[in-house]
Amino acid sequence: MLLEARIEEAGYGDKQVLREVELSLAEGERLLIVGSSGSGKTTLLLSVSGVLDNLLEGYTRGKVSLAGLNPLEPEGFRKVPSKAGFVLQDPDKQLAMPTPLDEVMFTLENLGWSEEEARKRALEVLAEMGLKGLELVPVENLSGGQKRRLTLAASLAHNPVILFLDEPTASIDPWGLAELRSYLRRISGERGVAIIEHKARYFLDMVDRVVALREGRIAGYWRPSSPGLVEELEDAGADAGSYTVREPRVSVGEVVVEARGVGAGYGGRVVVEVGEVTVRRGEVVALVGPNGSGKTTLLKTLGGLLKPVEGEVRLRGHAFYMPQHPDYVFLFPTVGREVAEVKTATGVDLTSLPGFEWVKGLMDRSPYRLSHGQRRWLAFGIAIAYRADLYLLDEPTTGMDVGLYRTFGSLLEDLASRSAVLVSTHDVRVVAEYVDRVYMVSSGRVWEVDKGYAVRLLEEAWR
Amino acid sequence: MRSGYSRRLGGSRAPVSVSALLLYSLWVTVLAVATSDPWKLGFLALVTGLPGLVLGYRRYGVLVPLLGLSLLGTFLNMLLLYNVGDPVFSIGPLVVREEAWRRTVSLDLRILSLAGAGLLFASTVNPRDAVRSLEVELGMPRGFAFALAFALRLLPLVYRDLQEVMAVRRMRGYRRVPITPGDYRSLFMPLLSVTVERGIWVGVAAELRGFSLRPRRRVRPRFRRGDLVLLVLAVLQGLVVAGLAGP
Repeated sequence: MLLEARIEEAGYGDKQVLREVELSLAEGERLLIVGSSGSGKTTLLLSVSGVLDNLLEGYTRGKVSLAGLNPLEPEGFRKVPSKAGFVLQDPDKQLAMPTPLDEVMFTLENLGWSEEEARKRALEVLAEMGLKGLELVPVENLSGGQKRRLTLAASLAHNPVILFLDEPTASIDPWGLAELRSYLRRISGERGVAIIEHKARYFLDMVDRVVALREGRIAGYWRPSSPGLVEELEDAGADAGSYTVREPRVSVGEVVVEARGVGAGYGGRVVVEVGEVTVRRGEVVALVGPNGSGKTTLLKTLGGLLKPVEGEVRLRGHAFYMPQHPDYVFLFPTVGREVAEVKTATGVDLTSLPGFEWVKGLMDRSPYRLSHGQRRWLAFGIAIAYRADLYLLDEPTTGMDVGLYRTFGSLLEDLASRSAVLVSTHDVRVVAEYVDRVYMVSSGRVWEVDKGYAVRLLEEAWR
Repeated sequence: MRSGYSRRLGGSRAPVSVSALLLYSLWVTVLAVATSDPWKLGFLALVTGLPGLVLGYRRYGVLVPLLGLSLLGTFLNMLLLYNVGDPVFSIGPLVVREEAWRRTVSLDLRILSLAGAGLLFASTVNPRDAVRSLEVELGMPRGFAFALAFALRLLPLVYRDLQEVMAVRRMRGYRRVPITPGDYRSLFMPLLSVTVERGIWVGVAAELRGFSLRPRRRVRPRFRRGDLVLLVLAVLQGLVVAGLAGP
C-alpha cells in the first residue's frame, strides 16, 4: 500500500475536523475523495501529508504511513516530497517562481538535482505537459489550464510514487479540464493518485474507488459502477452529475446595458470585439469561453469599470461587479463594520435578509477569518444590498458545493426578478439551470449562441 | 549556433552578480533611512531611485499606481499633522506651509530611493537565480532567500489584486483616489489579507516540494565587471550621506 491512514481525530487547536477516518491507496490506484465544503476533504490531505502537524497549528491522532514514511513525525515529513507530489487548489497559491522553467527546476534542485540535470529534466517534463515554447513565459501570462498543467509538471518532475490533487478543477475551463483528464490518464501508471474534489462528475469515469466525507467522517466507499452512486454522492454534498436544462424566461424588461461595435481592452489594445451585447432587466445572461478569452475584461467594460477602447457602452442605472475572490469585496476590519457601513450606504440591514441570520453571531469576527463559504455568502449579501440595476458576476460558483450552489441559485433567481444579471462562468450547471441567454467569447470576438448549444459545448468540451 | 531563446533556456549570464546587487540595494536602503536631509536624499533618488524606477518600469510598471498613492498619502499626512511655518504655495484655499512641504519632500525622496533600490534588484534578478545566489554565494538562510525571491513573483499578483479592490470600491461608491487614513486602510486590508493567505499556501507548497531538503551548497562569489560600477556608486553615495562629499 502506498498510503494507509487510520486517523482517530484531526483538527486545528480546539476544533476537531476529522474523526475515525480510514483511508488507503494502492499502487496504480486512482481514488476520488468527495464531500461538501467543510466536510474535511482538504484537512484530510493536510493530515495524511503531515502538513497539519508540521506546518500548520493542527494535530492528528492516529497512524499514517505514506510510501513507508511516517509524515506525522518531523523526520518523516521532511522526506515526504521525495515520494509524493502535491497539486494544491489554487495555482496562484502554489506557483512561486516567475517562469515555468524556474518553477519545475525549483522542485528538482530542492531534491538535490544539479542545475544542469534539473534544467534538462524540467524541459522534458514541460514538453510532456504541453508547455513547450512557454518555458520562459511569465507565469502570470499563462491561462488557467496552462497554470494547472504547470503545477502538475512541478509536482511530477521527480517521479513521485503518489500524487495528491486538491480540487484540480477549480479555476479551469472545460477545455483545460479535458487536458487535465488526459494528462492524469497518461501519468498514472504504477503511481497512486488521490483526487480531492466536490465536482465528482468530472472524474467518476476514470477512478477505481470513491470515498465520501460528511462532517469529518467517512460517509461511504464505492466503486464507480456501484448502483445509485450519483444519488449517494449528491447526498454527501458532491456534484455527481445531475442537472436539468431549464427553459429560458420569456418575460423580460427594458435593456439595462447595451454595447454595439465596442472594443473592450486595456491600454489602447482591444481584447474583445463586441458586435452586439444587450442584457435586460429580469434575465440572467452568461458569458462563456476559454480562460483568458477576455470575459472579465468584457464584464468590467460593460459595468463602466474599464473605458472601451472603441465605441460606447450604454448603461442605464447602477452596476455592481462581483470579483471571483470574495475577499476583494470587504473593506472593513470586522463583519460588524461591514454590516454598519452597508446599512449607512444602502439602508439595508444585512442581518435581516433571508439566509443571512448567521451574520449576527459573527459581528466581531474579521471577514477575512470566515470560512470560504461564509465569505462568499457575505460578499453576495453586500452586493444584494446595493440594489444594482446590473449585476456582473465573475465565476460566482468556483469552489461551491452542491448545497451552497442551490442557495446561490435561489439568490440568482431573486436578483433576476428585479435586475439584469450577467454571469461569466465555466459551470455548465449554471448555464443549464439558471441562464436565459448565452454569449460566447473566444478568439477576440463575442457572439450570441443558442443556450442548448452552449450546454452541449461545455459538456462535451471536458470529456 | 544557438538562438537567443535556446541560450536563455540554457541559463542566465548577467553582467552583475545577484549578491552584489542585493548588497547595493541594502546599502542604499540603509543610507536612505539614515539621513533626512532633502539634498542628500535627492542625490540618492537621482543616482539609484530614478534609474531603478526606469529599469523597473518595464517589468513592474504595475507598481506605479501604488507608488503614486504612497506619495499622495505622504503629502496628505504631512498636511494634516505638520502644516506650520511660512506659506510655500497654495492649492485653491489650501495653503501648504514650510514644515509640511519639507517633510513631504524628504519622505517622498526617501520612498523614491527605497523603491528605486528595490526595483533595481527586482527588475534585473530572476527569483530562482536570487534564491541560488543569495544562499550559495552569501550563505543566507534559505527561508530568507526564498521569501525574497517570492516577493518578486508577488508583485504582479498584488497589482491584479489592487485592480479588483479598486473596482469593488467604485461599485460600493467609495473614492477612486484614497484620501483619508480610513480610505487607505480599506484599500490595503483586502490586499494584505489575500497576500498573507497566498504567502502561507506558497510556503506550504514549497515545503511539499522539498524546500527543507534543499542541499546546502557554498561557492565563492564570482566578481563580475558590472559589480565594479555598483561599488563605485555605493561608495559615492556613502560619502555624500556622510557629508564628506557633494551637496
